Amino acid sequence: MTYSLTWFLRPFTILGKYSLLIFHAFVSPDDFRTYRKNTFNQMMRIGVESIPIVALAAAFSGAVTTVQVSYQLVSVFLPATVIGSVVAPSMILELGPVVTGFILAGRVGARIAAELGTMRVTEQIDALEAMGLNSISYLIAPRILAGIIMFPMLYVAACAIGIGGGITVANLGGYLTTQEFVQGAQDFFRPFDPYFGLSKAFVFGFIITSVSCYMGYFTAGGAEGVGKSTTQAAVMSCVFILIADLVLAVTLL
Amino acid sequence: MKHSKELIVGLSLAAAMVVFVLGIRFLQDVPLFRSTYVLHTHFESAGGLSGGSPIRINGVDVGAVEHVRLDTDNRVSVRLHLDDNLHIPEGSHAEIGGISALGSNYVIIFPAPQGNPPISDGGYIEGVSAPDAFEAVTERSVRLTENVEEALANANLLLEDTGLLIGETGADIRPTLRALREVTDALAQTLREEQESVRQIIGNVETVSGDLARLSGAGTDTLAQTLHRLDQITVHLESSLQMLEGATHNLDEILTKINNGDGTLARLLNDPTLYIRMGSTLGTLESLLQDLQDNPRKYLRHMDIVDVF
Repeated sequence: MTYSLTWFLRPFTILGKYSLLIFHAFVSPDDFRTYRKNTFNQMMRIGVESIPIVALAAAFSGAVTTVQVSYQLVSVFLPATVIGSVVAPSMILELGPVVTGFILAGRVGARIAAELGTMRVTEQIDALEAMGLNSISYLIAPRILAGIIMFPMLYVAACAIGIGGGITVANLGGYLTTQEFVQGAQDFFRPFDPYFGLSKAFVFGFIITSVSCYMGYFTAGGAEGVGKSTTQAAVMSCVFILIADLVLAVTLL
Repeated sequence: MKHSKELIVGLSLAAAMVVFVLGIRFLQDVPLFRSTYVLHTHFESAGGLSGGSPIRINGVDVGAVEHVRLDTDNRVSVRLHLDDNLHIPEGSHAEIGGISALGSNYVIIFPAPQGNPPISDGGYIEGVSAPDAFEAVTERSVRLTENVEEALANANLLLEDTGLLIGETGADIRPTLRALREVTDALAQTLREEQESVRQIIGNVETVSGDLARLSGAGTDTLAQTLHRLDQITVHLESSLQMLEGATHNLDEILTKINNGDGTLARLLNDPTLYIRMGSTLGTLESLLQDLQDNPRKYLRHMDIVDVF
């Protein structure tokens, strides 16, 4: 096999390896109760402990969007309520899931890759296998489960806090009143939007945790390898979030 | 500690679910904790209406559209969530308002008089499909465009016909124009040649008119007097004519009477008795005179000259 062919087939090899890893993680002969404690630990770390940073990012996103939309849409033909009509759907459809996704790709993705990578290079994973545990299920399934369960929760928090941040800045900056903001948000609200955002959050949660697990689980090359895996986990999670964002928008909207 | 971790996770998820559900209800402008007054309606066309669109009565938001679906008979089924304290009377109807092009559609409810019994929760309100303002304008503009196109097509045809007409008669018109030009040229030439004569003629005309002007200036008084007299004569003539008319009228009456045989004169003219009598009288007088000539003494014997004078 020539080098170029190997290079060409490499993405497919990675895709296959990744798919098999996820498959083995969830098709386990062990009882779920074995992983329950681990799953709740991960839900705590991935979800609950991420709330402050997500809240901060969402509040600022909502506030900045409100200020910038006010700046852009100054027109005698447009009522002030239009700012609410732009900011609320922006948070629900795009900023909520994507900002949360990027933050968690850095915070959670790097952490998962570093944990699993260190376990790999220090041969802890081999030790688990030697103890008769299914290391893939034991390490990966709780993390992915925690991701797909907690990420939608973080999305809801991000949206609520983001819109709240927008309303606060709109009031403090004198751009528009709370009533006007809410009126605008309600006028153009479509009930499908939050469900679409929620599905994005679900997919992003899966992408971040599974990609990071893959990067960490297959770490090689000592401490340097761990660093590389950690970086790649964060970067690749972001890249796949962007791709998935576009694919979901094209297919679901 | 183990339980607390699970509790925190559970609480976070529950809080997220509550926020999600309440958030949707809030943004749909549906009361958060109260139940709503639900109505169904049907429209021929949704006209841009979607779930979450506001519902208004007299311009006030009173609820939101829950969903817009297509029925099996291709009619648009719309479910409305209204504030619970509202009671829409029977006979009310719903219309779709707003401009669909801007995405700002809403349902307008036109309530019937409050005396009517209220529609029950989950009941049906009649949906009337009113044409969208923007669509109406668009529709008219399409018709307008068609008319303009038709007018332009007609104008094109007209121009083509005119072009053909000019093309066909061009051969006739050209010689005519040429002949006209020749005539004009000849006239111009003649005028140039006869310029001196024309000038003289104009000079003579000017002299004559000048003389006339002088003449009329000098004899103005005499003319005025003459005219005044003529006026007087005319007045006299008019009165004379009136008198003559009166006389003629009288004469007419007399002649009419004569013709009709009224009066002495008429009898004199018409009746021959007098003539006959006068004839016989003259005959008698003649015989008397004859007798007088023949026998004067017979008559003069009884005449005394002194008695006579």
